[in-house]
Amino acid sequence: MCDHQPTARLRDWALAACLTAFSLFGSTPAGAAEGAVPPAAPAKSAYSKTGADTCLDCHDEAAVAGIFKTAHGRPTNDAGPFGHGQLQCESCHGPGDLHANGKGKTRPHLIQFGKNALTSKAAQSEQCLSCHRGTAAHWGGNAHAANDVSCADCHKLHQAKDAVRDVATQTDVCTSCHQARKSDAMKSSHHPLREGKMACSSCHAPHGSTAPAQLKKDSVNETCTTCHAEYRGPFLWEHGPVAEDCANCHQPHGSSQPAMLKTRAPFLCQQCHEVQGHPAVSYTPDGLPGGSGTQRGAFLLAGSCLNCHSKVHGSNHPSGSKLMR
Amino acid sequence: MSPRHMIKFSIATILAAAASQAVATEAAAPPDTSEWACSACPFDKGAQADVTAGAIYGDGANAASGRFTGIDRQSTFIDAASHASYVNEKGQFATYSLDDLGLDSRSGTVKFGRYGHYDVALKYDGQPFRRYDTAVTPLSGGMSQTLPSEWTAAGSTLGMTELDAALHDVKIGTLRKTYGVSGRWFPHSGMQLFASFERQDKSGTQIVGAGFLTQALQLAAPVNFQTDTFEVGAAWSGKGGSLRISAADSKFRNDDPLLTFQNPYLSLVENLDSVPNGAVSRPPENEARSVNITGSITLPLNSSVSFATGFTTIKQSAALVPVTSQPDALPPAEGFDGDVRLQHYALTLGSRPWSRLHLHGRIAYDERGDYGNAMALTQYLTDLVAGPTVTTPRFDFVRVRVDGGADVRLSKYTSIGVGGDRVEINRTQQLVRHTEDGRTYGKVKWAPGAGFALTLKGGAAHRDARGIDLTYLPVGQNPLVSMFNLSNRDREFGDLDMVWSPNEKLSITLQGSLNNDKYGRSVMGLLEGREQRGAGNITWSPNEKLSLYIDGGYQSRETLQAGAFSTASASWEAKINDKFRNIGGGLKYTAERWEYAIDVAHATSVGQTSSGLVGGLAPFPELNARYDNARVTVGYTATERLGVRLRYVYQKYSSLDWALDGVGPATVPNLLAMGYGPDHYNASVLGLSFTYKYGTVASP
Repeated sequence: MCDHQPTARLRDWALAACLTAFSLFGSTPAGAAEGAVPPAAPAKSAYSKTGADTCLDCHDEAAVAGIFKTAHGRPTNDAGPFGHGQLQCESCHGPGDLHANGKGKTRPHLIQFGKNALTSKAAQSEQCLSCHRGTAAHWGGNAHAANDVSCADCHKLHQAKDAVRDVATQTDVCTSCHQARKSDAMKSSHHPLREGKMACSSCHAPHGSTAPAQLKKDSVNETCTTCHAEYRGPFLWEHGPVAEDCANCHQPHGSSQPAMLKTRAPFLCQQCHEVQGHPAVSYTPDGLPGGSGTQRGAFLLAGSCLNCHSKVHGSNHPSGSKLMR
Repeated sequence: MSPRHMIKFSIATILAAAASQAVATEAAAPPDTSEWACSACPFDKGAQADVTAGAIYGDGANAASGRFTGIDRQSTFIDAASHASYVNEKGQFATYSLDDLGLDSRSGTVKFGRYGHYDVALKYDGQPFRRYDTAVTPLSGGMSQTLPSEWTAAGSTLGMTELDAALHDVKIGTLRKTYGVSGRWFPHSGMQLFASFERQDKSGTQIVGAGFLTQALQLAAPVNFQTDTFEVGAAWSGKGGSLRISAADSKFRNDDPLLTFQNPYLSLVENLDSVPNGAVSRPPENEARSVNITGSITLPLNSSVSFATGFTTIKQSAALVPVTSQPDALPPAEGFDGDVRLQHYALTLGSRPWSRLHLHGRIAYDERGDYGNAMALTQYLTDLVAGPTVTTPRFDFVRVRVDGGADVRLSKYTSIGVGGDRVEINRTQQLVRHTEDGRTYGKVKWAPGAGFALTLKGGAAHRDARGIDLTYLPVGQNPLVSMFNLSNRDREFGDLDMVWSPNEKLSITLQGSLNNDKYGRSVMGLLEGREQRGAGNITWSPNEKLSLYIDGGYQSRETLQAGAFSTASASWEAKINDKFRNIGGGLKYTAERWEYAIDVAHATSVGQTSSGLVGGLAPFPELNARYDNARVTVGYTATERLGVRLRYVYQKYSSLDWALDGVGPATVPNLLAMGYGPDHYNASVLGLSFTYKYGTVASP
């Protein structure tokens, strides 16, 4: 039984009606930004009569023609925009008859791509996804989509070489936005990104994934052990935080500490281990060469805790419960 | 808002979005394109290739300066590379790309196929990882390391009379060689079958520590690892969604499960014999098999749902090694049948039901089940004395992650967003069974035009740790310590992101972030953490020939932790403050035949550590590192086919590290160290190369 008073019900439906009206009259067509074009070309434009031949009458500059060096510009690729029976330039840029035949201010623009495009970011990406949904299955829920980043912000389709698809140059593209990551790669302990031997996409799935931080694999550990399989285990003696998440101790983007650790040993280890005996002892400069506490040096210098507990990722020795063997 | 209100609001939103959709889907009818050929298109065809030959001289180079490049010593290296591509009118193509052929970092790919039908790729990549070329050791041999025959064991390094004479250099570092082959077949549009195989060979040496109760030494352990990964699958995509199914097998091999070494020490403990040999286990062989299914479904109202499922089993059945290095010692069992099973299920939603609104959400379930045999094993101290019997822990956990958010464009210039996430973990055999980490945030984006956009984001997070089980408190562990990943934490955070691109020539960006962590209920362990970051970039391209940039970054991390020998309150503290700064800049200029590129970078890191009794902290010497890099490249196109490139790279790195500075093999009485210091180099790399192009010279 409804317990709402009539006035309350009226108020609810009035609110709903207002929201509907506001939505209908206040919104622009789906996917479009304020002042931007809709995802398809302006409403009543038709496609051109002769396809790319029409476009190249004007757009014959080298910056455009680079696409003919790429998979998109192959006439024998039936699935590509220039394949037999495809819409060529208008596959991506939308119907262009009005654009081709218009003059001056009456010439409507087509679907544009890139950072300064008039077309909304969502509409740009939707154009790409109409063919590439398979490589970006998780695009809709991903952080790039949520932050209004479109495919063309990273991919340069009219360039013979798309920098973001090249291991040696991809990092420059990613760090143009993720600038702190560029700083991280400058630290003394880092993965070889600035040396061009790894790329961000070696670990991350920029088109989206269901893992944390858009990792390629289902978890942090599965991603790390793709290359570092020696730490995959399972070991006879496991180390709990290692089995759970490599990033408990490591900063994979780079660190000023050895082995990309968050903090160096012994202090990192002592954030968890306060066992009676040496783990619970305060290590001070007395343990440095020339200090008064030389017997403590082995706990502090060179590999610190790892001088003995070198099997911190896990040990397969029957006497390895302390991760020393 | 009550559920009833929410339903009504949802109905209104859906109706509005559907109406908007109706407007938006008014599309032009596709023309008859069957005769479209494009006579003006400069379609690529024919063959083209280039070959580069030259020399690189590394002046002052060492392991640290050439860590990932292979230019790791003062020497001359061959600079060789070649690239080629071929495509014919049927769309059949072949390419190869070979780079850095004269260095250990050489790489190459060969690819052939037919566009839209199939392709096959072969690849090789060398990845050196040079660590130290100043390490020394008195031990020799591979997996069974021995001391010189005249060695006299001593109670401490100070008494090792033969040490100096026995020391010899050993290079520490590895080379990872990756070989791969992969293929894809596209039986029809939207469908592909794929398979790949990759082998990673990692060889070299790495430092491994080994201890005899109170005595320790560092060893140069041989590395001879091999990982083979095979994957096969199928993928389909269409307007209604996509589906990808794959299966993979990854096998890690290591033929050397045990590193044995001769003990250089006499026992420090009176009346306790020292052992002649020691042993350290090496990574056991393992195999991971997985099946993954992912896909997406396109929904009305500009929405899509995607899903992912993954099942992985990781098995380890390597033979166990003897319980000690005594000659008559035996393994406690053949193996322990390690068996870990991982499961992953996830669902994501992305929706733009209305042009002003973007919704996104995800729920993911991860499970790690460890089905390996728990074994009760006697622990032998210093490879000699039978100690306590300990049962091997098997760690299981279930992790559920939920996140979501909504972004709404309020006006032409302003958007707001809210969101949050929650991560719950339930563990077995750990001190804390349950943690819940919840985070909420809000953000505002203001983009008044003229290429300017400012986004501010801020929020808070709280981690709650529950279900403390003292059964799993390690023996002797102070019960007051809170392990940093298992303790209550309150976090406040904020981000700033500013972009200003007044025109296509100029772009200015500025980013900053702040994290403040309080471990309020922790008495010992990590108590506080604070991080501040900032980074910026200015790029200016006044014309097509010239572009310039400068960028920089700043980071400060501060932590406070406490500890105690007794179970009372904290008696000592440690404060750590790490700062990192970097700045760089460069330009590219292209004249008719000339190309110039200059990049410079400078980075410094400073680490301040002080520790001691509460109220009386003593400072460690500063950790200090400074990196300077300048790179100049000049290219000259002599003819349409011949080009010359001159490059010069200057790198200087200096560092102070109290853990390594002045620590020789015998500096610490109970640590036979390898004597390597922190990285230092002052290196220049000069390269001159000639490139000759064959075939059709690129037209666009």
